[in-house]
Formats: sequence, C-alpha cells, structure tokens
Amino acid sequence: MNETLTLNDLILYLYNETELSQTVQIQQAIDNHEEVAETFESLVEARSLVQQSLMHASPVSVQSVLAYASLTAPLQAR
Amino acid sequence: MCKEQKTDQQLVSSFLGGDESTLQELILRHERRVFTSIYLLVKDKDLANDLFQETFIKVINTLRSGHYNEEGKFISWVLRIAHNLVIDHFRSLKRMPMVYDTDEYSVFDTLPLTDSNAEDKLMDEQVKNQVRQLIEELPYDQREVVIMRHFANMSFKEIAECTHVSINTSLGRMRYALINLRKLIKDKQLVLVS
Repeated sequence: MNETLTLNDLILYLYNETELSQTVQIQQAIDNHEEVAETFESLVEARSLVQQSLMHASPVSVQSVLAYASLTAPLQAR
Repeated sequence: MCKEQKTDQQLVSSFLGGDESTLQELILRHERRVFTSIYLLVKDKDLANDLFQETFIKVINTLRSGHYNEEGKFISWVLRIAHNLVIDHFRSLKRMPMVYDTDEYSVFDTLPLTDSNAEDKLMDEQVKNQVRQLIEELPYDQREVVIMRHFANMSFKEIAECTHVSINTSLGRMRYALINLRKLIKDKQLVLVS
C-alpha cells in the first residue's frame, strides 16, 4: 500500500464511491503495485461472495403480505 | 418486444396515484433482499419471516397514510424499517443478538427441483448456504454494514449516519467483514464453486 492510499480508500473504490481523481489514483496504484492488486482482488472476491447469499422469504410470508395489501386496499382500487 | 422495467420510484408513484397492482411488483422485487437482511441479523428463519411480514405491513401502511418521504431510495427506506424492527425485537428481549441453534434453511423450501438443472441448482443452493453461514459468523456490527451496503444499496456515508458512527468506522467494519469472510473460507477450507 503506498503512503497516501489506505485500505478504506480501497473499500470506497470497491463499491464505486470514490471521486474521479481518487478513482484514477487508486486504479494506478492497483495497476502498478502487486501488493495493492492482490489486496484488491481478495476484497473483490469476498464482496462477490456476499451477493451469493440471497434467500427467499417463505411463500406463506409473501402471500400474507400480498393478502394484507389486497384486503386493506381502498375500495375503489379492489 | 422487451418491456422496460419501471424504477422503484415510478412504482411508488403509481401506487400513491391509486394503482394498487404496483405494490405487488415492489414487494416481489425486493422480498429476497429484505428477507436475507433480516435473516442475517436474527439468524432464525421463523423470526425472520415474522419480521419480514411486519416490515412490509408497516411499509404498506406508511405508503397509504401518505407519510412516505420520496427522497432517497425505496429499498433503503424499507430496510431501515426492517432494521428498526430487528432492534425493537432484541430490545424487547433485553439482550443483543445471539447465535441460535436452528435447523438450517432447507433448500427444498425455496427450490422447486422439477427441471433438468435440479442438480446444478442444488449445488448453487449449497454454496449460498455456506456463504450465509460465513456471514452469520461475522460480528454484529460487521454484518450490519454488509447488509446495509449490499442489500439496501446504502452508501457508506448513509450507513455512517444511520448507525451513528464515522464514515471511517463504517468503512473499517466493511473492511474487517470482507477480510474475515476470506479468513473463514480459508480456515474452514471451503471450496465455493458457483
């Protein structure tokens, strides 16, 4: 990691929350420093894992919510 | 002809304008993110389903009452409601969240194994279960920021405001969460093939 780039900066970059000038600086650091590139790669991998964790509510729960919405709808909308 | 998908804001506006059908579309669009967020916080499937229903009932009532503030993202607002209900739940128990011993979520609850790709889907679901278990092992504050950033699409600034910490603390929690996830995978020698 170079002296001005922190791990928090990498996290911001990972989630596309950096300003343009910061984005360019971090991209250069990734391109030019193997250690930064490896760190970033490991963060990318971990982030992609989280996205795999999505699960569904039970169908009964979803149906209950939809039934509530229907039952409580204003009369003209039913 | 491919029908262009309406944005959340357009659906909310339609709903507020009297088109009740858009509510169903909103609920179905976001049920996975909302349920997963709640489940990862409470780690109990039945409780998560209860809180999921409470969340959307509150969403429906608030929208109908005209108190919805259209600033900001719809999903972030819904997940803030969910998050507050989770906190209320733990407050009512007068303790912080603990690891529950529960039966794991059955793949058969969500997966209709009726097609030729059933085996692939089962593998996918096993990977998802492993990842969920890893996330459940993270400390609460790290899990919280992962959920808010990934499922509520909140920025780190918004997360910092919502959780009353500095943005650097939010970033640090995410950093540790991601590092811990990597470490857990290594420690458990998991092979996550998707």
